[in-house]
Amino acid sequence: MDGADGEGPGEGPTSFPDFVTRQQQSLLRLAFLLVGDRGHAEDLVWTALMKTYRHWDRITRRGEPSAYVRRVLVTTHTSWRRRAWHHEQPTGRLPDGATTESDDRLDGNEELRRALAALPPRMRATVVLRYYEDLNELQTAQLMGCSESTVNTQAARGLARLRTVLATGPAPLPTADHGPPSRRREPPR
Amino acid sequence: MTPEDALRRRLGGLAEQAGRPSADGPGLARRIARDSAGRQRARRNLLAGVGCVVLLGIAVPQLVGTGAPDAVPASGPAPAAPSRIEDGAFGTPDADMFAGPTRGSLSDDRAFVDAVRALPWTPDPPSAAAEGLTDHLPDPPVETRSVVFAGEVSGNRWALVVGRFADVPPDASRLPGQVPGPPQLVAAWFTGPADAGPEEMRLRSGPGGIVSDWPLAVIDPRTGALVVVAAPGDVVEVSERPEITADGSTTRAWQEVETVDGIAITRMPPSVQPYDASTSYRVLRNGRTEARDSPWSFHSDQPPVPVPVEYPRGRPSALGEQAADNAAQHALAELGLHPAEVEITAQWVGSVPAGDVGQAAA
Repeated sequence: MDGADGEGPGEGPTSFPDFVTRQQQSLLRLAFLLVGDRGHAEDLVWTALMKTYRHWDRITRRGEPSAYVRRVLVTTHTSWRRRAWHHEQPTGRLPDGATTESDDRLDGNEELRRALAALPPRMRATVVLRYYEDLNELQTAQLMGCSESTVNTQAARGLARLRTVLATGPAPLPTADHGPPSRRREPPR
Repeated sequence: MTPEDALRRRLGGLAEQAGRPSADGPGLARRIARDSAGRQRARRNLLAGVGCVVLLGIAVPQLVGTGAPDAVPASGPAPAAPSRIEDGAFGTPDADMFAGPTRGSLSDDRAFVDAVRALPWTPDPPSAAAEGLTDHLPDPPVETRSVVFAGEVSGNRWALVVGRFADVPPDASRLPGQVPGPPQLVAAWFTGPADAGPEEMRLRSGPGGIVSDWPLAVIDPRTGALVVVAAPGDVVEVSERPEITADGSTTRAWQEVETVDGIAITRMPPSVQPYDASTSYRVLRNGRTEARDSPWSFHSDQPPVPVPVEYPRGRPSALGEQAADNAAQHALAELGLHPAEVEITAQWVGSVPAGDVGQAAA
């Protein structure tokens, strides 16, 4: 494979090392939102990059590889769930404490992390892609491998669930019922 | 501020808690290049070995004069169902562990195999999928599917169907600037009672993503029946559970099981849990461990056997007891032990504040 003995295939701004340097941080953040754990997030990023490295030259010939790598990251996350859902689940918190007193000290981020973790994985991914990555419905559908209507439904339900959970948090979402997210089209990034 | 905007802001704040990557970009790229090169060397060695076997298979019959083209017995395995995986339309240049003719004792039953290949994969009503309760992978097109295995397992019928789909909406190709996604190899296991017709076969595990050069296995926790699908010529070993020694180290005892065309069918001890999490298998090729993994697990309807937990320092709240019960069930499933074999004590229960990144709860 091209560049297997060096730092990676390609040269210039689309070289693999350059891409990793530029995108590693944002990929880690996306992975963190998907898996909710720093260690797993780094593993997920590594696996996604490993999968794309093998075909890097072909991928970059088609354009900017960011979308491709994110797609691999999301599908890898789904695949992991299939294979390892019952494996070790490291967590920064006990899943259910013996008492609930610590809840009073949770900050808003922790509340949101818990609320995200409580979403079904596909719904979580939809919410993250729509509202963190700021993809439109079509782009999200492409990444998720589903239809736009499914994205619309899952995003609306995910938003509703988060609104319910976070309404009591330190920085609640507005509670007004705005209905499902609009189907506005944003230009592809 | 709309709910959407508020959520965007909150997600951005949470994402920052991921912190900085532990490796710098060039260092990570170097590590990936090194690991990828190692895997490629192993793959090239495998392909070279397969090539030698193929050449021998061609040369030897010709040398001994038995290479008549019509010498295929009428009762031999049915030819492979036409498969897009084999014809390269969706295939990869790598060794595909799931390509080739259907394997297993039912591979001769062409009608059965063809019907199983066309079975629907959607396990849940659309409402469940819309709720996000399932992955809702769309059914891969029938023409991309192949039945990798169809056979009798513990008196029942099992089948492994593999398909591909480029999970891109049909209209995506019309959009400018879109990057085509990778074709995805997906698998689903179907089972049915003894002598089941194809219409009696039910989806039991999957669909789930797989990779072509990694084996796949599934276990029924109720009976312990285990099927491992590897490449022909691979050696398959299984391990019932991890064993923890007195010094705290963990080992496993491995036992080789018979394979036919790369398929190993064996029986592990049944589990009292609704799912199996202790069984492991590994595949050896040329004396080298090529893969090690846990099998997919069917989910039985039987309720888990209760695990008694002792609380020498006082009982926690009902929520705490539930957490302890879940942890105990999980630990026993991972260890493959019956609740009667162990005594579980919650040495301490309570809450641990762990608000910052890098801190852990105990």
